Amino acid sequence: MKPARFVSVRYVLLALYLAAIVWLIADGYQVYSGEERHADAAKATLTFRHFWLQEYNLPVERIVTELIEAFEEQYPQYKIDFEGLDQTIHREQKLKSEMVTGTQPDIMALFGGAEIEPYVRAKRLLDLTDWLKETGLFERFKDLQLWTVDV
Amino acid sequence: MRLRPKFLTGMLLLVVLPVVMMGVLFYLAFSDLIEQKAATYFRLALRDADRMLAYAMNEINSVTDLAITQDAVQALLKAPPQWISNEQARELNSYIMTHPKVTSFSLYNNERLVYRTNFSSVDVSYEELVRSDAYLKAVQRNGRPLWLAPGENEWSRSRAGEIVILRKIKEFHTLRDIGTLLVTVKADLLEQVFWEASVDGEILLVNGKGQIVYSKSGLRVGEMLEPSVREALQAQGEKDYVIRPFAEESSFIAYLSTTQNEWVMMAVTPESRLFQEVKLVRNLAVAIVMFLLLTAYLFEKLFISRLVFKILKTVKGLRQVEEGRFKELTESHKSDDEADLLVRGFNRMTRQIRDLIAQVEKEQRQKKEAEMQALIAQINPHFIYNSLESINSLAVLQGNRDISRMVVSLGKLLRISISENKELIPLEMELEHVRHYMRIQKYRFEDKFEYELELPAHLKPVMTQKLIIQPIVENALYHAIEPMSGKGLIRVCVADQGRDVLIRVCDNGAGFDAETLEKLDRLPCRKKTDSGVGLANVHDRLRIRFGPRYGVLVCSAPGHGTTVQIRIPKLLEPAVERGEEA
Repeated sequence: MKPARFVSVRYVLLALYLAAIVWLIADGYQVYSGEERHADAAKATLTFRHFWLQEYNLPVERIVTELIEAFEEQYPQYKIDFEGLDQTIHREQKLKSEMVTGTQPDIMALFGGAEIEPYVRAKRLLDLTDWLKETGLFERFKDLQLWTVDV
Repeated sequence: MRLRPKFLTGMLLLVVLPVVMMGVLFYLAFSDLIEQKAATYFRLALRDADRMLAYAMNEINSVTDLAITQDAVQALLKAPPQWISNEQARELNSYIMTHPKVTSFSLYNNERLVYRTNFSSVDVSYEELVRSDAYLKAVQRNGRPLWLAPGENEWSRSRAGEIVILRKIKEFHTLRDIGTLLVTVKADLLEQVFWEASVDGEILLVNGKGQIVYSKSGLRVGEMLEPSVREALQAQGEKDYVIRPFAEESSFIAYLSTTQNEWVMMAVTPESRLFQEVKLVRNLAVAIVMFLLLTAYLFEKLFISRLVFKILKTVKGLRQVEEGRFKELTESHKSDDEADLLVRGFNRMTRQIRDLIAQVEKEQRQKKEAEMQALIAQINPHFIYNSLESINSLAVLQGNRDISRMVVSLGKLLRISISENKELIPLEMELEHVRHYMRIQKYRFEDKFEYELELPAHLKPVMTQKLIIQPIVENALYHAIEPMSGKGLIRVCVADQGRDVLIRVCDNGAGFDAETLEKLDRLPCRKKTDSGVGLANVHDRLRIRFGPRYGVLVCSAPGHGTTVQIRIPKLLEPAVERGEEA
């Protein structure tokens, strides 16, 4: 009985030793292959220009502000640069220049109809048709006529 | 498993393997660390450079942004005049040439060149422009500026190369394309950015096709990147660096897509420079591993190997001892560990055994010699023979036949017991000796007993120790026959029993019981002269000569006489003769 136990202890030790070697090699290999450490991706900033500055527009502004806060909480990699501008300056001058040079904001308040036609034709606006259909939002709008442009 | 391979396996498995593994892991971990550190460093440095580049480019972009939205520019392109007045030219120049890096610009409408500043190093006709790849790209950019670095614009004729910015101009309200703006910018815009960047080595700008469009050192501008580098750049998804040969030198190449254009910014550092520390550590690791292996080797050579050698030596010595050769092993004089004690102990043991054997041999030889001396010391047999012969002659002359016969017998008796030098004699002769003894005793005891001798003819040549029957017979005479009142009988008969020969001496005396026999056996006096010990003497001699199987057996019971049986091997003369000579 006794010699048998001795032998088994020896084999256990040997097995442990071999396991340690295998573990070390595996570990070393892992260190060597070096998993990527890219945690510091830069924050993306999206610009959002609105013209809800007047008293009667403040509720809209508040709703959107809350939406933005919720969004930023859900997607911490994005920062929304929410800025208000006088409606006339925005629509008549600034946005038009920006549309020429292609430096328009990512998101902006607009009026539908004829005003957006040149922007769409110059491909300055994003076509949301597919996205609306995908998300089922398309059905929930009463009328999208003013926001529809045939190209 | 033998000792030596066992130790070797243990050494390899438990010393060499871990040491080598440790070295390799150490090296790999460190080089990986350095690589990661370098990657992080270059990532940050390139981002920094990109930010500066973006800043510089944005400055000029803002200038052109402003210019192309100006009413004067828009009007000029929508309705180009035949020629442009100095006033108009000054106004146009003031929009764009205000930026210090801008060297010239050209304005095209959808049909022809409308305006160009003087002394432009780039003079491209409208047709030339429209045919170029760059123009197509600018159209795709949809009004946003397209930057062409010195290496990728085919128009610049200045030696240092110039940056060309190309952008489509859209109508303010309808956003239709109404013309094209071409601006040339000094190449040192990029130079400044790159010199200010915190990267020591080479920095490249590479366009989407893999062409080097600008380099900090000014080398290789316009050339294509090595295919292996291009492939690696395309293949690498997440990593932002590769290690590939660049300009025939294995290099660490960190890269970053710029935010402003479709350029990729690359920092190229020769691996040899970057990994100098790694090389140092590798050399150190190799040195440490080598040193450890050397110490392990020394340990093996100095201790284990010597130990194994000593054990093997001792085992060999033991084998020699088994074969009967007692050779001492060489001993080391200096150390005195257990292995040396083992060798020393073995030697001591061998010496003792050898001495003992030598002693035994010597004692036996001495004993034999003593016996011989004892025999020689007896009276010169010739003198006795001659005397006996004289007595015989006298007896014959005087007509006394009894004396004559007695003397003859005595002579024969003496001849066998004394003058025969051999230890072994044929049974025949031994019995002859007994017969003569009996004859003499018969005169002494005056027919008080009879005797019979029986020896089968085929047993006559069987060899026996000499003088083994006579002492038994003498015993019988003195202890059994003499005390008897009647006539005694002594019978000696020899029988064949397979390998052995049995000689029985029977008498019809009083016999004795077991106790007496034991007393006889225990008698302290063992002198030759004491007839009582004749039995034991014969027994001992037979056992010494032939082995424990042989000897004397005594059977007796009160009133039934005594039988003494002698057992000897059936040896035939020739073999014995040879044995004697040896």
